[in-house]
Amino acid sequence: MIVTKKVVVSKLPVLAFLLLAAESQAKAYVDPGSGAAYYQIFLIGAVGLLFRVKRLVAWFKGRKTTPASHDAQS
Amino acid sequence: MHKAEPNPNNVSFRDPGGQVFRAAGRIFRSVYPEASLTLDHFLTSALAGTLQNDGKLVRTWSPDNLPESLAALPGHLVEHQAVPFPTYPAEWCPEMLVDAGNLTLDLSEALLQSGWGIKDATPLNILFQGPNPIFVDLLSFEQRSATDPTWTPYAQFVRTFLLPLLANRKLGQSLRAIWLENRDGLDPERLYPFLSLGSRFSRPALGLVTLPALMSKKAEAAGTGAAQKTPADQTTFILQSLFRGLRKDLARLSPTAPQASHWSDYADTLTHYDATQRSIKETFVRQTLAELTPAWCLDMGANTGQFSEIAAATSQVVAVDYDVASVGRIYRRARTAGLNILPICLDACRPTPATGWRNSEQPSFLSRCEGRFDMVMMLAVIHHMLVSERVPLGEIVGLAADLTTRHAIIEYVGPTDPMFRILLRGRDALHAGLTTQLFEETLKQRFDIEATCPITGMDRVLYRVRRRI
Repeated sequence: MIVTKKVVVSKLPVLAFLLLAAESQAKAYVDPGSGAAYYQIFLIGAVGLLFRVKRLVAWFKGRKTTPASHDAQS
Repeated sequence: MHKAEPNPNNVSFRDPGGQVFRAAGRIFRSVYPEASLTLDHFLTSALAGTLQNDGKLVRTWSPDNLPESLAALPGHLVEHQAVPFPTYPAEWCPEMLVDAGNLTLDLSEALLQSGWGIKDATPLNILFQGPNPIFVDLLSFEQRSATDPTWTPYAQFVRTFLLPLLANRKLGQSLRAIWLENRDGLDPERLYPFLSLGSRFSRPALGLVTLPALMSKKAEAAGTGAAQKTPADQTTFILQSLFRGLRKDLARLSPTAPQASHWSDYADTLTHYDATQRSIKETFVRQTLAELTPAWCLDMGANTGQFSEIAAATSQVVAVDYDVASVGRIYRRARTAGLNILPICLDACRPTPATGWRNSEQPSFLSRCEGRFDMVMMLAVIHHMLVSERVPLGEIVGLAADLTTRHAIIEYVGPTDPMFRILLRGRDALHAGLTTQLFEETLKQRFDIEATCPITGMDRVLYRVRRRI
């Protein structure tokens, strides 16, 4: 099967879901039982997903530069 | 693990890596072997040098001529630059807590680039030198993995910086009350019930309170686990994003400048002084300070710092007022103009008590003042103590004498003064006997009067007095 950009774009939602699911398994925090620490894990997952999506977009555009950082909570 | 025996000079002992001691006006840290290598490694790094030169990190070196009381301490000893007048978060205005939070994030960002991090993020790691925050907890530094996307002290940063600011801004809780009761800040679960529905689902409370509170049960069930590694570039991206988000939250929770209160506008809207009277007072204070050139000046009841600024030309100044908005104005002005003024939110009639374990971790305000100031100014403040607080005149003069090692400038405000009368509210008989003669007799019990300056047309007199040895 020839992988075209069109095919990859159609699979992006599935890819995004898989990446988010993978990130959500991170469980490192110093305050066990703390909701804020647990929320950080959620943030790490969300920002990690953003990073990967940005890199994918950059790859589509033929660039391989690291995307600039975004605000985790804004 | 080696532990130091109880020592009366000990000022910090909770860190598992070492303890801090004060002796002969110097500050020492005893570092246990397990932490010593990391500290040495950090102190020899270029980053540590840069941070110390920038005034963001307390200067640290290997001591010589150890005081006898510390000679038997276990572990490796280092000496820190002493911050001459330590203050604690219960005495800060919100602007100071915001700047302390920003310093914590500045350090964390700088450390990230060099493969270092901090273990904890609490305002207790920070002191103020004049209006400038400085990070003092050297044992907080640790090397971090380039593939660990977790910022270890995230939850503590939220609890100790952001949520107290949020409680102050949204619920009107004073930072003083929060910090005197909660050594480790506020939990999201504790704040959540007090927020309105609208606040719960708007920034920054949504990410700081609502979602963490709703996740807390899941967090309890999940317990601790191992960090999931991410590629180094992804880790950097995540942490930089996290820091920027926290910085934005700090900005959202900063007081909207400038806060106004009855007292913060007091100096600008003075109607009981005319221009001449104001000039007489200012000239007397300015001339006295220029003549005496005190090293350390305590301005009690500083209001918005008009006279603290004059004193700052020749002295290091600690400016005290109980009105948070006024202290915020002093702080902003001192930061902007580079004035050597350390502002403190404090009620002189109920000064900060000693707190912490055995009341020994954070000494009381009055014990920190002992022997520190060679000038105390009590300008337009004694009538508040006399009338509103019902403190006897002899006690007020006694406090002034205990606070200064040499001089004081004290303003007498008599019962016919309009501001005195406002405070009296019909209780005239209580202070009917107060006269300049009685005031001077009381002053002479502890001071020699060196100069007086009646303010023309007012029932007010300025006194320059010298403490009797």
